[in-house]
Amino acid sequence: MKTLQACIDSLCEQAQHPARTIQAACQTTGKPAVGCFPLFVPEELVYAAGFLPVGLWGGVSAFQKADQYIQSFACSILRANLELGMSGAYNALKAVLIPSQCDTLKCVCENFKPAVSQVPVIGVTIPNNRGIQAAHQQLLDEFDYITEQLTALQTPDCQPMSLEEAFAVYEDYRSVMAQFRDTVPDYLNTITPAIRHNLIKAAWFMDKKDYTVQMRELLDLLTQQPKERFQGTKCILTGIMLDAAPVLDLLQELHIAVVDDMLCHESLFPRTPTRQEGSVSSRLAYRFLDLKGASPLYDPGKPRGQMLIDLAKARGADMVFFTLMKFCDPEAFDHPFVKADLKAAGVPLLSVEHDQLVESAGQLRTRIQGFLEINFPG
Amino acid sequence: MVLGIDIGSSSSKAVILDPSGTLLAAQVVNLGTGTRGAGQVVELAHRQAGTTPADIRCTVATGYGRMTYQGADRQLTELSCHAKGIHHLFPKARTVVDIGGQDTKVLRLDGDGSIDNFVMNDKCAAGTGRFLEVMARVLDCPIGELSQLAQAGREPVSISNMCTVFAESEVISHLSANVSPANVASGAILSIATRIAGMAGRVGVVPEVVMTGGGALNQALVAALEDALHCTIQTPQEPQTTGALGAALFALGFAKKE
Repeated sequence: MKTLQACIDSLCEQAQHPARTIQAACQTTGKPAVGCFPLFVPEELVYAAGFLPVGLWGGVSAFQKADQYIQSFACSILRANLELGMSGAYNALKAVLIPSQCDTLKCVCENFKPAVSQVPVIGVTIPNNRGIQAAHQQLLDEFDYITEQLTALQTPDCQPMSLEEAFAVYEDYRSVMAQFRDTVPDYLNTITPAIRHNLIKAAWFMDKKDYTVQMRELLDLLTQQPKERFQGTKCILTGIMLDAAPVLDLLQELHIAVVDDMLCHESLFPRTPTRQEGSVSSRLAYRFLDLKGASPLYDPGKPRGQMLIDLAKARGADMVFFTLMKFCDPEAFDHPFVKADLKAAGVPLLSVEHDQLVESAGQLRTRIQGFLEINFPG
Repeated sequence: MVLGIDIGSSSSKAVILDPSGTLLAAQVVNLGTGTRGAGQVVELAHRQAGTTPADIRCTVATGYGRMTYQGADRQLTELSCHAKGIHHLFPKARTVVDIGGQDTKVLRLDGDGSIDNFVMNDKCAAGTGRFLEVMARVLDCPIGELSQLAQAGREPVSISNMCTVFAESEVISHLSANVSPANVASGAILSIATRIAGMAGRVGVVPEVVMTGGGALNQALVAALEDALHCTIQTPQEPQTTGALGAALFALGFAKKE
């Protein structure tokens, strides 16, 4: 039987070495991999088609080729994905799914085709006006289109299954992640910001069924430990992603724990409740239509601020940390609404603009430490 | 005795106070973090105060290099230290503009001197002391004379680019077009003032306004910012040492508690 530390180390290790993890997952399952661009794509369709869906969330720190297609003042995640594609890092992928949830994604979807011609692109259109019935039908049609494209790419290695079966695997994954989110606040000394991030991140590179088993084992061991008393500041993260080790380490150093998140990269989509009625396709469609609090998706009531307030209250958080992805217009547009809502509710908000290229956190240290000195003196 | 040391990106500052809070020494060395500046400035401060390291009961370090200064009992951000120092010198100050070598910060203070809100520039050097240094270099003018040069400008050119690198190219273009260095310098100062005024608008400007940091030594910049903010701006006699003064005042408080 594994120890808790071994479970944590294993998942963190898999998160920190995506290429190796994906290769191992492909070998173990025998399935070929299909890449899933940010922000939200129907991974279940990829899984049902017999492929291994893997997340593509950037991860390079130097650009040599991507600037041929995309300016340096664009989203660093998508620049990185293009750079990795042009460098051949995605050559083993059978296809990539690229959604059109922001302007940069729309451009990158088209740029990727000539720039990385060896990897087929399947464009994914999520309706913008999600509150109307036509959006539901459009998504069902979109799912048919994606399935058709994936089927055409199938190889003998693929292990297709029914969508019901694939959806059940993902529902199980979402259930264990809900348990993880509920458990973490009791173990904030063990589950540091970096560990929490890596434990969640690992799921992007593993077969969800295997990941769910490993996470469940970890949770079983974690909950056998006595609950921990954390002395520091508890925060909720919000934004596109926070995948910068210097920042996560800085949070730990400054005694800030992450009690929950509303990050697109981590828990925002999995935490969206799944409807219980209707066909599996319809339930999958409603997962997109019911998703709230993601800046690139049109939310008429701007509920993100209230969602953060409710989450902060539920988790006993002291503050919200808004990680503003540099050059991300949808996030910048959302920020004033969130700021106003949190201010009215008296929830301290720390907003920091960053990108994936953060290698040193010197200036950030001043901002975060200053924020703590002001809001939590002594 | 207590010591406050502010180790910035381009200079190190030290202040020594006696137990009653009287200033014994205030020194600046134009060498920043990662250099011998911190050691030198402390040595100079001791020489001025007639003290030795053994006389210091508490040391508070602030600034970019605060975490690496070995002799500190506590580390506090320059935000808190500037607020403390300015409130000590200007009790009615409600807005502080600190222009350092790498960062520009605007602080909003409450009546008791605590920080109500703040805004900082991000990685970009526009609006910081670094911008002034780059402009001075392109104009072939010592940094200490940039203010005088800018004040001689009668028809400031427009520097539209906020990015330091692009602004440098723009300045070179103006010089190539035979625009006088004085008018270019004046335009550069106006552009930095506009940038800082924009930042200040994000936290709201409430009088009295005090400017601190190395940027406050540039009288042309102070005047341009007064125009941009439509208010009078006060500057301390030694604007570079207010962060170190605040650190020393914190040290005094910690020493009294012990």
